[in-house]
Amino acid sequence: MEKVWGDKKAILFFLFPSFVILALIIITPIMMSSYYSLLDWDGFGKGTFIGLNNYIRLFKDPAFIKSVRNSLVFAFASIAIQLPISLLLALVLAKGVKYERFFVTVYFIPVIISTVVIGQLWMKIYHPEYGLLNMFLKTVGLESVTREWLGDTKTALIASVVPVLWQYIGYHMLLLYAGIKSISTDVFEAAKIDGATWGKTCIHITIPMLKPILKVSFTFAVVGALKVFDLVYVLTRGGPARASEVTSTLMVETIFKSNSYGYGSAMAVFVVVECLVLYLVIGKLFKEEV
Amino acid sequence: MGRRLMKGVALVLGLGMVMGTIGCGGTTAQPEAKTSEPKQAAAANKENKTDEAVTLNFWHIWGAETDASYNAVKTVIADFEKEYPNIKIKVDTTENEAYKTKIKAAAAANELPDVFSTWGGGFSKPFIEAGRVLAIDEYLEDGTKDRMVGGALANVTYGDKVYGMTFGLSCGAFFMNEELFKANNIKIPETYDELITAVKAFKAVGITPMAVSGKDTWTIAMYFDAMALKAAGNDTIVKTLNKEGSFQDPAFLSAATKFAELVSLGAFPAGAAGLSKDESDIDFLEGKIPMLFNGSWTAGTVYREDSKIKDKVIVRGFPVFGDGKGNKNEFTGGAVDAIMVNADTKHKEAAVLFQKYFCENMARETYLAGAYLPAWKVDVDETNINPLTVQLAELTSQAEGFTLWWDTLLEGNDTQIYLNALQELLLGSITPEEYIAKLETIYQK
Amino acid sequence: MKANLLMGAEDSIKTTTEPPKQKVSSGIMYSLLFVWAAIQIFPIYWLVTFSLKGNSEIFGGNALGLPKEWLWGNYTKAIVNGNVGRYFINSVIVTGATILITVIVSLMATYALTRMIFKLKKPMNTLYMLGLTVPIHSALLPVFIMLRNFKLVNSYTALILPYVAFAIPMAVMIFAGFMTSIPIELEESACLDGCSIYQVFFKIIVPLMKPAVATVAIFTFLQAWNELMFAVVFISDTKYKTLTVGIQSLAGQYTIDWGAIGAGLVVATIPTLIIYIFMSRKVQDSLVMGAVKG
Repeated sequence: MEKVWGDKKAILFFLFPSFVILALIIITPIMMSSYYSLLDWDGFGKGTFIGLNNYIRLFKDPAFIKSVRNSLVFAFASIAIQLPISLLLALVLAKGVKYERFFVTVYFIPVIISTVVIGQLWMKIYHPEYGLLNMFLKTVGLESVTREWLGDTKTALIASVVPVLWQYIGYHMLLLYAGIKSISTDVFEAAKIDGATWGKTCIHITIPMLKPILKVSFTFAVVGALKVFDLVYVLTRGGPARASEVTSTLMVETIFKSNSYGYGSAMAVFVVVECLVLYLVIGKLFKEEV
Repeated sequence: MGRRLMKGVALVLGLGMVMGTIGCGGTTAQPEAKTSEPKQAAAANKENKTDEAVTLNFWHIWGAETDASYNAVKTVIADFEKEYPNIKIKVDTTENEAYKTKIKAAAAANELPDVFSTWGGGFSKPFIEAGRVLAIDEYLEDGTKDRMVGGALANVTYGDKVYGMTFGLSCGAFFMNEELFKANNIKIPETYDELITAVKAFKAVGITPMAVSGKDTWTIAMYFDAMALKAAGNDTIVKTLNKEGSFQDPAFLSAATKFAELVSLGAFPAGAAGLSKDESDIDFLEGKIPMLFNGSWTAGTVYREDSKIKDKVIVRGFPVFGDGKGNKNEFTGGAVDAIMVNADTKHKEAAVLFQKYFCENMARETYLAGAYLPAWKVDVDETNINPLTVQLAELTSQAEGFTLWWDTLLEGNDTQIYLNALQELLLGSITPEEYIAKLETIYQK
Repeated sequence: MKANLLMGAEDSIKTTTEPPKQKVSSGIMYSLLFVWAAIQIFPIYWLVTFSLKGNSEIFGGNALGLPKEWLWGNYTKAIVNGNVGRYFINSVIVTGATILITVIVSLMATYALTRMIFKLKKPMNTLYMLGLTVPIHSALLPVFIMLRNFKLVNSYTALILPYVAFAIPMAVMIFAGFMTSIPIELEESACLDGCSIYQVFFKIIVPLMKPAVATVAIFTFLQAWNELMFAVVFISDTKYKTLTVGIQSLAGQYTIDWGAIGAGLVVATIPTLIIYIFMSRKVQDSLVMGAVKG
């Protein structure tokens, strides 16, 4: 087998097409961005080489540091809240409930609806005057808790985290659900015969066997959270007063509005490194646990 | 470099002339009437006409039917193609915000089309510095300049050279729902003190006085630009924004303090900092909020078919400050929407020919459509124009000048500093003094 | 992983005890499932009612209720002004090609990256993952310059190529997650039977990857179908514009007719829903197939 799997020609054959595409569209741009990040450049004309100054500036920039912190809040919330819900749903649905098809379909709906619409929907929920949330709070007598969710620096971040988490629960659910479905049914039948309860089966058999997919889900959740942009932009534009600023919204402002292409590229490189480091950490965590 | 040119105030003499030509008979906005005038204008350029077939790529932002300019653009391009059958215009339109990204990427990668719409002032400055835009001075000396109103070229002149043409003028204006004022027995404010009185009076009857969107920060700037102008006057503003003065000038603090006063009086809706422009406008358009200070294009929105405030709204300048240096005939805004030609175009003559034709005719057509005030001397019958636009034209006919909006005048980075600081001032999270200190950081670089 | 699987199977044969009746409080579970379903289905209701309203209802008090005035004209506006017919076909072409290419090249790459043995395997894996980390906005200009240099701007390829590139890392990761669960024994026995590596890949691995392929197809579809920024910047010829761009172009400089945009989005969402229902069936059906094969 090793001889077969060591076949150089075959390896080349399998890797070549995707590698060419990646080299052109991913690797080269990363290298270009890395180069831009060493320039003081407005994106047009000629830039001046300034070495690592953009990076030094990054770590002194309170707006940037805040945006990194906010992005990490997204990543943490994603792992701590979103993934457990997704996993639970996937486990429940995969064990074969009635109307399974219906549930699998419906639970995915928020993922397929355009972010613009999801954003508008949540703006209605949060609206200070006629928003659902405030109206609900008033009805249950919690008038003191009502506030301008998206316009208040204290709540803008959390108010943008919730919709993002919610929208992608279905995404991870589907991934994990497909993972469970591809585990051989023999195993579950065996567990059943053993008399294991569903809960025990999940903890001792399903979840350990799902580990490779769980790792994928973890990675997507973390990387996705660190790069989150669309919904935050629609909901708050990163404001007010940078309260919900994430790295991507700040980077877009820096590149496209401030015309600081070099500085914005440094942020991009930071995001790449940040994601890569966390990816390796996740890899380590999953390996050790096995 | 290139900063000085924006110093000059755009003196708009032309508007007076517009008003002077009312009553030239029953010429309505019909196609036959449209073509007659531009023909003579174009005749001067006819010698440039070559017989070979040319296709010009033209990018612009007026592709949505909801735009007041939508039909104007179509008409003008069709007329041009009829007049110059050997030149074909290949149009590509993009939504406003996305267009800004697109045109920047195209300029960076040197992939600009032959002719494109853009914005004067700070927005296009990097394009010009990178040598992407054709200077058109030599094409303007054939009398073209004389057909424009004064100041039409102010925002597209960089370093003593003209790089673009404008067709329409927009200005900041106070849209006030007269019905709400009358119903509550409140006087339309002419001075800042009266504005404060009105704000308090509306608050007393439970009406939020003014609409603003803190999320779309440029709408806050609409207010503050005007207030700074009333406090400091045009010259100080222009000098300061061109980094030849200082925000320490007490006039700026005075404007900031007044803005903070409005905020603390509750002049703006609760949670304004989290509202988008669509959300904040709606209360004004539904007749619930009496006042909105925004661009002159709002006239078009007020007269949309589904509008509930048609004929109830009047338009004013920002109330003057008792202690301010600005007077009531100073306005914010200017001729900003611009048409430029790619410096590397293969068809220079044809492109400039189109640029001229387009701007001159757009000036008339978009005025008729109620989208802009004309930046060219036009001769039209005004009976069918949106009455608010006519009011605006009357109001600004006395204009001493227009001071460009800060977010247009300043370059990208400085604009962001300004808008972010202003958002905090609206939130009340910084004091006017801290706000001025943040503005002053524009000088640091 | 595979050891687990086989051992589990063996254990099962030994034990013959009757499974005890599970007393699931299924009533509670089902009501929770249905409540959650109602929450998840709400956005569809919201989108459809949104598409039938005007701005004053959308942004005024009646944001969540049924339209007071049913503005079917929004659909005419969206379909005519948004040039939906033409753009729809373009979106189908671009998305279809993206899914096809992504699935094929990623499956191939995954096989090499998980099963095959070569020196640079680890760094190669990381390199593929790198694609996941690139912020799309910072890639805009570099990718644009690459496309320009290859004279690809204003073509279907200008979109398909970047969409595939950004989908490959995701696809490879998902495929790898699934592939590691396939027992090696299957391939080994096939090898002993004299199958070449290519036969092993196409005859054994590919069929077993069906649920993964369906999942990747859904995710790739979503990415490509909804992408906007590349589509705006790389295409300035109506011939190649996609649906999202068409819908965006309904927004004016100062006034946005949200109802018409909602109508356009409904039109754009229907195929997504169909593809999803179709593909998620494939995921569910694989249960049966897995049982037969495994």
